[in-house]
Amino acid sequence: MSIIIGEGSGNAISVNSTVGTAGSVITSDGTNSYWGDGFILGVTQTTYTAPGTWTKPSTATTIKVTVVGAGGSGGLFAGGGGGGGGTAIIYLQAPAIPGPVAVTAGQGTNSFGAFASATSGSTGPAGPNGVPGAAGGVGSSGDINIGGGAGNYGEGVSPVFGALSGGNGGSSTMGGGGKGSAPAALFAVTPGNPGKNYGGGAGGGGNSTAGTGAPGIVIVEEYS
Amino acid sequence: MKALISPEEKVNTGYRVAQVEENSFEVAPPLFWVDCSNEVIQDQFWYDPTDEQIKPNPIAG
Repeated sequence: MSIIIGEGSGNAISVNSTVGTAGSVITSDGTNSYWGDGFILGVTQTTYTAPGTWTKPSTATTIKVTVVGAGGSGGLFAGGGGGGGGTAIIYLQAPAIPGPVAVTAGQGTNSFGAFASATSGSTGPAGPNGVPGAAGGVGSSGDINIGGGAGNYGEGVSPVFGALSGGNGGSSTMGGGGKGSAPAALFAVTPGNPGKNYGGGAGGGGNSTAGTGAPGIVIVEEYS
Repeated sequence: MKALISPEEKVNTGYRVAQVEENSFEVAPPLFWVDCSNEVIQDQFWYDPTDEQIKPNPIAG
């Protein structure tokens, strides 16, 4: 059987062979193409939801790091929704990383050393007047930086109807925003809902209790 | 206290105070830390790069 493949410089070459054995692939030793053994990349994933230290495995060649900042809290008194956390994604050649890397994860800004960080969503403004939702966080120094979603408008408190609806929280790349409270009864105190993992902003509270933003996360994928 | 400044998040004519901590931790640029007073609260203050001062945000809170 003959197979035509490209040899990297625009010229086609022919590989004369049998169909090969199960699992074999066409590969090259730099001079000739031939049927050889295939292989699967080894992938190991470590997640951090609290501060820690990442130590480079000797077998790692490349790592992909995803950093998500925490969600912002919602505003009191049917205030604005908290912003979603930002996201930074970075690819690093493992041999170029000099040593252990401090990882900051959980609430607030999350960070993989000085390589990539993601800030939390902002805290939603408090009522009682109608207020806009808070801005989302940002990713810093990633190959890809993604902003968190903004929280929604909080309707505030009416002197006639009591607390109206707090704004929904903004989403991150991983977690949805919590729903703002909408009191079921006149002057009811209904807390805003917390953001969803990871990095979702919280909803604005119905009166005195706002929701809490979801914590962020750092994910390290090691390829060997 | 230390305030984490985020230049990519604009507030008023300056930058967001994204976090306040007793001790700083390692962050990626352009984020940076500055010394601040105990009164500074995240998102209720902003950083003015023209005079490098942290000022209360008249909108938040």
